[in-house]
Amino acid sequence: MAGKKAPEKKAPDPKAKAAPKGGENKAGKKGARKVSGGAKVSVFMIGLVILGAVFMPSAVLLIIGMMPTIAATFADPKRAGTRVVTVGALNLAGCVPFLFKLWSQGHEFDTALNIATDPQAIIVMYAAAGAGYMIDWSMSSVVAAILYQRGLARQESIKKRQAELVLRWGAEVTGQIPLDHQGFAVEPPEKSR
Amino acid sequence: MTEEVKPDQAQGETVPEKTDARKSAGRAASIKFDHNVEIFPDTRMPEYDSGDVKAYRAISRDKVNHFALVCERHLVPRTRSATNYAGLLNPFLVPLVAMGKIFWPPAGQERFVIIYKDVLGKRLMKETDYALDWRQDDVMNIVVKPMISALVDFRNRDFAHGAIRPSNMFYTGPASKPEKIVLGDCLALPSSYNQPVLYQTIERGMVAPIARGEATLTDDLYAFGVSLAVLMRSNDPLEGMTDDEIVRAKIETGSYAAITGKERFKGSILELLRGVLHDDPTQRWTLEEVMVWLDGRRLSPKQSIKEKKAPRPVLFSGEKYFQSSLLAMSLDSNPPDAVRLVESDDLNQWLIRSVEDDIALERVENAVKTTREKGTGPGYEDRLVANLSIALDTKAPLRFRGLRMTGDGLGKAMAEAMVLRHEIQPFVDLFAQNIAFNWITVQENQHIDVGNLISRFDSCRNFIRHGKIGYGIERCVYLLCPEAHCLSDKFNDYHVLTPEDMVLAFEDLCKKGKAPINFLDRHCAAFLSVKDSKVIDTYLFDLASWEDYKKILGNLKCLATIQKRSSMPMLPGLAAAFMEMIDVICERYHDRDVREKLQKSVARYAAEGDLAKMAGILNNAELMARDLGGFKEAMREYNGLQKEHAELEMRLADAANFGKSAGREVAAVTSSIIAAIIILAASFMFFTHTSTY
Repeated sequence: MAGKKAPEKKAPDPKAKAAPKGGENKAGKKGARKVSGGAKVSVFMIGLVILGAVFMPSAVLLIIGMMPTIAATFADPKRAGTRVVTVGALNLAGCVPFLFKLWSQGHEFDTALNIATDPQAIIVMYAAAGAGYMIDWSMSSVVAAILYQRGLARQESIKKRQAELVLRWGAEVTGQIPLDHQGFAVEPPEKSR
Repeated sequence: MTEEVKPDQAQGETVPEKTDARKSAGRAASIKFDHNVEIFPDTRMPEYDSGDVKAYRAISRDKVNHFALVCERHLVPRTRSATNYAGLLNPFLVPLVAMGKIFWPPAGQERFVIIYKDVLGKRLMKETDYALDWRQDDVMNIVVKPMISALVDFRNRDFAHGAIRPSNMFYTGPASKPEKIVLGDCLALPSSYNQPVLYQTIERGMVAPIARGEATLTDDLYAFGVSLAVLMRSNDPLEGMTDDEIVRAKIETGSYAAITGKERFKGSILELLRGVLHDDPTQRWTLEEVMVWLDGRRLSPKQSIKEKKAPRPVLFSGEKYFQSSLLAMSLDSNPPDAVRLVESDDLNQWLIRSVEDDIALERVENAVKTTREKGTGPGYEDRLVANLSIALDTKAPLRFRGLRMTGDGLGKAMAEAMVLRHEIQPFVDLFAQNIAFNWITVQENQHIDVGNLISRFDSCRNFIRHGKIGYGIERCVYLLCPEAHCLSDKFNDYHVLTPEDMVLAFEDLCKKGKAPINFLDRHCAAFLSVKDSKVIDTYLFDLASWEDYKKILGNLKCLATIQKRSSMPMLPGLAAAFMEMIDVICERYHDRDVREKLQKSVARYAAEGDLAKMAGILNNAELMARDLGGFKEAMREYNGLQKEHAELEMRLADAANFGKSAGREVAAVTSSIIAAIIILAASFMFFTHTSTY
């Protein structure tokens, strides 16, 4: 959820910069869009609350089961969202079997509480979230290490290519020597024989 | 009697012989010339020397005796006139056999030689003798008739000998009664170079020997007249006099009186002497008049006209002058006094009151005005003296800072000055200060080609003003003296007369390991520009460049053009010398691969000695443009890589976070995929096995 909100907050900025060019009408339209975006969020939240009220047992189960994701959302200082997605996806996967169980047992509030208070269920749901954390940690480290090495290798290849260019075209190719219009080092006439 | 002479062939096709001569110089006593003549450097023939030019024994393949005159480097021989001379078939002239350049072992350098058939006999008179006291009849029979026939031939072949004098006449038979007279050499030296002042007209007598210019038939007639007088007179009235004093004597008393003194010639020969010794060129007998006289028709002898003397003298340098021509002759001996003469108005007053020559006065006033227009700073005195001299005596030669020249002789004088390393600046000033122009514009002598000289002097002035390689005073030399060899220091041991000679001389230098850094210097460029402008004018810009590669390429292109145009043989020596300098040209290509390929290609043609193909490869504008485009592209790539490297450097510095976000994205995707699989599996089980739940 937090991941969805972030782009919505960022979106107005570039449009706000463009506003002076378009004049008042465009500014008016942009204001309307802003109101429209806020309205959408409100409608969505209202819809969510209504859905939560209608499907109260499922909502209660998900709120309890998805606690690690909610915690991850608030724990992410940059609100980048990738870790939340990682944790949230597996956390949700851990909740889904118990959600199906709730639905198959009549979708009662008590059933939801029973499942939510069942240690096995809680362990499964939270362990799935933990697996998400593990994936986030391990994958990011591995990928970062690989990319770092690739960066170093690229630096090497750049140096090599530059050396090749210097070898073929001379030191003049570096652009660090004053050159004449034909690309040769500027020599004063006195140097000539 | 006279062997067929092929001057062009002799000049241009002696290279193989020269090489043979070089090889055999150390051990052989003779040098082969053009396959036909053998010259013996150890066998001198001093009796045939022509002044500074020494004579050596020579022999033809068919064992006919010859003698060879070996020219001096600073004295330009009359190679152009030689073509006309070669066509003369006269028993009273020494037959020209051949001429051209050879390697001359005694000097260790190439020299120009002129080979004559040895028909001369003994010299009629020593150079130091000036009176033979011959009988008139003998002179008529032995000298006059043969000489007139020779003069007729000269006229018919548009030739002038320039060295007619008894000391250049040779005889056969007993000394008491010579049977036959033969005229000696006139080609090995500049025209009239060896001719004593006595045998020169007044005007030519004032000129330095080197700068007398080509003689004319009227000069030959005058010299013929003096020769007759010398043969017949019993004493020398001018004995002990310097050249200047002889000229003054001729001016003051007239040539006839000065030469004959108190001698009284009688009979018909008197008319001839008076006629040909007349000091006014327009009054002097022509050859037609001489022939009429020879036929026996008596012409009234013309009285020589002495220059008008002023009743009162003008004082210059402590001496009194009554004639403007004598004053003009002395002006350059004391330039400050010449300035005083003008500033004090003494000269004008003398011209108005004593000489009473309004035209001369006007010329002097113009000369002073013209001189002052160029300022009165350094050089004013010299300019004033030169211009005054011209104005006072229009028939006199060009006099400037010690130089005394005719317009025609200027070139040879410059060539001599350059070879002997004399000061050349007076010649430069001569054109730069317009002195030469001032002289030519007052000339009235019908034998001077004024239009041609004006055109050439104008070109010289422009060359000096231009000053760059291919122009300057060097070009003036070759323009005014087309017979001069190339005077570059590089050719001190060579005699370069044509562009092909130059290339062969360079080839020889290269083979000896003496390849110059810069082949075409100012002299070479000027020489080629005059001889064949098409082989060099296009490259003068390159040759004048301060950039080494342009100079070398200019040299290569020029020499390659000569090789191609003249269908010359391969030149491996020159090509190898250029190969040593090829790096400088190849460095003008940015791409090292291109450089390497170029060097390989050029090396292949260099081994063959093909300069034209070497130049073709190196002078490739399309390749240069491609190379420059490639270089610019490489610069852009290098710059892009540099930026990328800097960015990576900055990001890699934060090693803890580098790639983390990407890793988390991968983790998110992975997690999402796993979750999706789990959810799908659970859904599948839920919808297919509801009972399980």
